[in-house]
Amino acid sequence: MFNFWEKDMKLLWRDRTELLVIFLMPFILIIILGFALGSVMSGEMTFDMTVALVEKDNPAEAASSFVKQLEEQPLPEQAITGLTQAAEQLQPNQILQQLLEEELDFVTVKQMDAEQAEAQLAAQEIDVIITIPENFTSDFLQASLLNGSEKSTIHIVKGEHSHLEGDILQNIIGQFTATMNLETAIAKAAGPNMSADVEVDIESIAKEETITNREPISSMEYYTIGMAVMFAFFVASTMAGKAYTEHSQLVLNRIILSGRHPLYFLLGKLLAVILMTIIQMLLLFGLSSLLMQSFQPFTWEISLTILAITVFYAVAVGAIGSLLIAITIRFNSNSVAGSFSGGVVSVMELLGGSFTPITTFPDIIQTIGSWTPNGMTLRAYMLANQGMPLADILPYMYRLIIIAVVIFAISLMIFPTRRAAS
Amino acid sequence: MLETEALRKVFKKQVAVDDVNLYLKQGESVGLLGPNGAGKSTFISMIATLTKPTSGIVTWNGKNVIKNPNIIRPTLGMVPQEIALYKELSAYENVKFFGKIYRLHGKKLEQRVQEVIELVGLKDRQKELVNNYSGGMQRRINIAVALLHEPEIIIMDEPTVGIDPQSRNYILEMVKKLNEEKGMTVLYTSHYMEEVERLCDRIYIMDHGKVIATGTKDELTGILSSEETINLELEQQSKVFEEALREQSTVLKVTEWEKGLRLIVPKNSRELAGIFHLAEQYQAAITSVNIQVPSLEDVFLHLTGRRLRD
Repeated sequence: MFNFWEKDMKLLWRDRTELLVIFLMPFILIIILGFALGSVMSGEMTFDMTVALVEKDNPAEAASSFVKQLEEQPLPEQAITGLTQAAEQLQPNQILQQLLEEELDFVTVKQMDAEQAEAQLAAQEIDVIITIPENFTSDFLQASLLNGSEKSTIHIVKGEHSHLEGDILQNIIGQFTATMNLETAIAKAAGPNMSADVEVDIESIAKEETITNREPISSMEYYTIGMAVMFAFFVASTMAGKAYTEHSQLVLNRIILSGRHPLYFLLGKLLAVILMTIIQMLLLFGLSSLLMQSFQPFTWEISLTILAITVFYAVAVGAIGSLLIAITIRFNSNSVAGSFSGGVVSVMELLGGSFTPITTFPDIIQTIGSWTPNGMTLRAYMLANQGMPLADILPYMYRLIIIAVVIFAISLMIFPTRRAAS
Repeated sequence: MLETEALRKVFKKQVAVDDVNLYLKQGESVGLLGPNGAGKSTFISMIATLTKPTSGIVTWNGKNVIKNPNIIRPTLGMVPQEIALYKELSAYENVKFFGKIYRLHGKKLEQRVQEVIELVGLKDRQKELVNNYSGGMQRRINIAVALLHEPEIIIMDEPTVGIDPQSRNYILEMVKKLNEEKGMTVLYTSHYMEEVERLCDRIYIMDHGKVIATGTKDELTGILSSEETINLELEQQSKVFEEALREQSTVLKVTEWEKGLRLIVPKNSRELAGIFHLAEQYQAAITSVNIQVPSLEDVFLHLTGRRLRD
């Protein structure tokens, strides 16, 4: 298989025209689109989300009920006083509201009831619903100060149209609850006397964990990602074109006669597409980073995540290439690869958001686009570039691999394996 | 060694190969002669296990290769009519790649690569891209690749089409040498009668998917009528001599040509003595006599009413 792969890499490397299309064209387009649409992007790519806050809890009632409970406990007077003060200060609802309304500029909070919120989410008037359930404060105080077993949980519902925004907000809320838990745990460990010092540093949550610790994605970064995911498809169609030449010149027949299983031919091409796609994309990211200061500041964590996404995407592109090759060989026609590079790629790129930022699309297009391999990869790259944790990006990567496996399985079924296609 | 029995291929309703029987013995050189479109390429493609026959059998040493193509594949060298090479790779890279897929490795691989490149006479230009080669050189590398794994039988599908006479001669000599010196069995298809005459022990003539004649060259030309043509070159035309010849019962036909007379006589009629006698009698000076032997071209014309390259 390595021999086939080596031969395919040599053939591709010596085809200057294809190399220009694969490597130079995307870079030129990045520069043109990045500069030309920079102003549009700077206005539109900042995240702007509307959050419905559904509060089913009654914090005041919970606090007074907690104090009553305390008074019934066989505790020393001093402890009861300390815990009462702590309960009055620990108002998680208020802190969360303050976080959303004051610290996160891109969030607009609307208070409403559950029914209203669901209706508005369905109508795509809001992006996310945050529900604070009944007994949230009570459970929180019990668990934090009296070793209660009930966990207090905040519910988040993301709209189909706003997965990216939902992911970001979910992450912030997650950090909020983690910080609350840590602070109260420290307070408990320090004893009742220390409980008055419990507080949550909202500012640090926002600064450390939200997208605002990196600059909003720039037009240059967006189009680097957009062009990279788009031009990767041309590696697949180029390889299918080369397979057609090999087949029409009967080179494939020589391979069949050698006694080698024809699948080696397909696997060699799969590997070549994967490797060439990785080289192409990393070169684009590298050049964009070096020459246009994109993807700054550099962090190993983000870079490794981007590398992982690139590998997953390259595998998906390799599978698409295999399918094109299988169809080309089976039907002895180059028209499939031609119409893929000439038409299908354009449609997929439009849906995936390579040319126009996805946030400007109608929601239905955004949803469809998020299911195209390039669309989901573009979203994954954007999340990675904003420093989002791997857990938020992994679903996209899993989807890519599932798509790759399905497409490759189909290509295996189509590829003729016994004799040359006649 | 190799045998086909009622081998047939039908594409939609078009019969490309029509129940062809053929056999090759070990070390034999057999020609498949026929015009373009006769079904030669389809036929050898079926023998080479690249195209599945509609019906019929192909056996290699008694084993059915239709059911199990791998019986013949490792022992078969195939030279297709097309240049089945990577034109963006050098001759060396091409031969080496195919050597690797034939599972040659290390020193053995390098040795075979150099041997076959030398055999086709391109040692000095092996590092050049195939794309930069002339048609003849490309065809020579096309043959080199087929010889890499030292096959027992080589099937060549019109390997000299569209090349210069020098390369053509080189290829024909090479094939002859492979057959005569190395004992390689050769199945050679062509629509050039002189190539098949030069190289092959036995010949199959194919037309419209069928084998219309088979045998050695002598056997095939023997198919032709029992007549032969005598061309007389004269110092000057003589009407009286011509009339005298016409009156001979053993001379079937007399026609004039630019340098003299052309006679058609029964084969082996030994008419020459009588002709010379008449010439002396009518003072016609004969400067040259040529008895025309029938060629395969004549045989094909006789059998089909068409010329090989029509």
